[in-house]
Amino acid sequence: MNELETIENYVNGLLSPDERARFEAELTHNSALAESLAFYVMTQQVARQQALDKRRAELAALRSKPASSPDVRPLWGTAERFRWLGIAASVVLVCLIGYYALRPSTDTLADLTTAYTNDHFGQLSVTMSGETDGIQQGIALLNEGKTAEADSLFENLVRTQPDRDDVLTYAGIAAFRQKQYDRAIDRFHRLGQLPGLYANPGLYYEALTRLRRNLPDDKSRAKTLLQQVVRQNLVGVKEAKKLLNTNTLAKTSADD
Amino acid sequence: MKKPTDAELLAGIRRGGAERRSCENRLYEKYAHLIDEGVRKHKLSDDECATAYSDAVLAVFDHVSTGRFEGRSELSTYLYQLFSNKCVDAIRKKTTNRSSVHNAFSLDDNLLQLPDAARSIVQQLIAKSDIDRLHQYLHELGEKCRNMVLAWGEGYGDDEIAEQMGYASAAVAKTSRLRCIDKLRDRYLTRL
Repeated sequence: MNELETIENYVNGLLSPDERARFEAELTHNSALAESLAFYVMTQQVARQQALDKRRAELAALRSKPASSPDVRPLWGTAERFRWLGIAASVVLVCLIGYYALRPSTDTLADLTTAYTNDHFGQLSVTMSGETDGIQQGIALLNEGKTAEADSLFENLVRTQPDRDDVLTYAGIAAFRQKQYDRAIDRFHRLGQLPGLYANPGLYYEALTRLRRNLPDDKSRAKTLLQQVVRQNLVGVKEAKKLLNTNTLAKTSADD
Repeated sequence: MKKPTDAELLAGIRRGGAERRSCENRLYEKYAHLIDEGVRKHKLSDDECATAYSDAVLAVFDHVSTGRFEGRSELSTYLYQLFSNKCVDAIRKKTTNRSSVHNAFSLDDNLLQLPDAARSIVQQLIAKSDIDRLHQYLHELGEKCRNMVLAWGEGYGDDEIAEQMGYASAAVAKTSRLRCIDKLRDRYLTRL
């Protein structure tokens, strides 16, 4: 074992207790050995420092920065100026077209959900259901602004007819208008699970209600629901695409 | 390309070798948005924040590979805290002449690894030595030797160095590395 190897084993704690004791005893009177040990420690530190500097430069190179051109020749006054202007104009035009085609919606999430719920959960059509039972009465109450009474009526209907899509739809809307979002989510969720419906707005309505409630994981769950609406081409697909294109949801991770 | 999870990155760094470098780079890229956040929050320049971020990330690499990061907090939280400290250092450096408070790589760390009996002797000798000259000689060492010594300084084991630099075994890499350090010592002592 050469001297440097012994030093390395000492620093790394790999010497036996006897070897270690001998090494430390020698260190006190052998100045050359002490200097070699000091050199080893310094070299490790210097190597570490240089390795870090090198690594720092490598990491900095990972950041993509727009390349700045060192060539600053003036374009004006040259024979090529019109060609450059044409190229520049084309680039600007392409960028503008690209921006308008691909830009995220400038409408905010809140604007879109409020607009939709005002349109669809506000004044309800009494002809939405042909039934002559309590549903029509509940719709009339909602249209008159008597949301508490309507809510209570639809809740009774949910208890007696828990698998009717229209009952779950209006019960959800009534709860939504009462700001009872937990209950509205439950009703719309159950609606979304009903099998065999030609047009089922359950998933989309649940997503809207989650966006309105806005608890910690509501956005991500709403995003998942909206993605499902788009994938399966369900009721609300057009609006779902708009919502997914908003800045807020584009940055949200889907809960899947 | 799918963004790697923190757990995947940490596992890759801990596995070492060539995968360590690749996972380190991907970790750097994953959280590079902190630089912009630092610019907004701390009113530092982009370059200052990029340096603070590099230092923070390098500290994370070190803490992960040496086991100092135990995973008790989320990686993102841990990195964010280190980055904030580095930004505070940068602000302090700008407003006063104080140097880094959170510098994770000082000579003291290297001395601390020594047994007590050796520490004071080495400390006195280092105080008298010419570290700048050593820096210069290490720069001038042959490329292969220098890369090997730098990899060792960065914490790579001889097995990893052997794999990355094409040596037959860790033992062969170790012999070559010690020979390189010896060569550096000869040069340093001769010209001292």
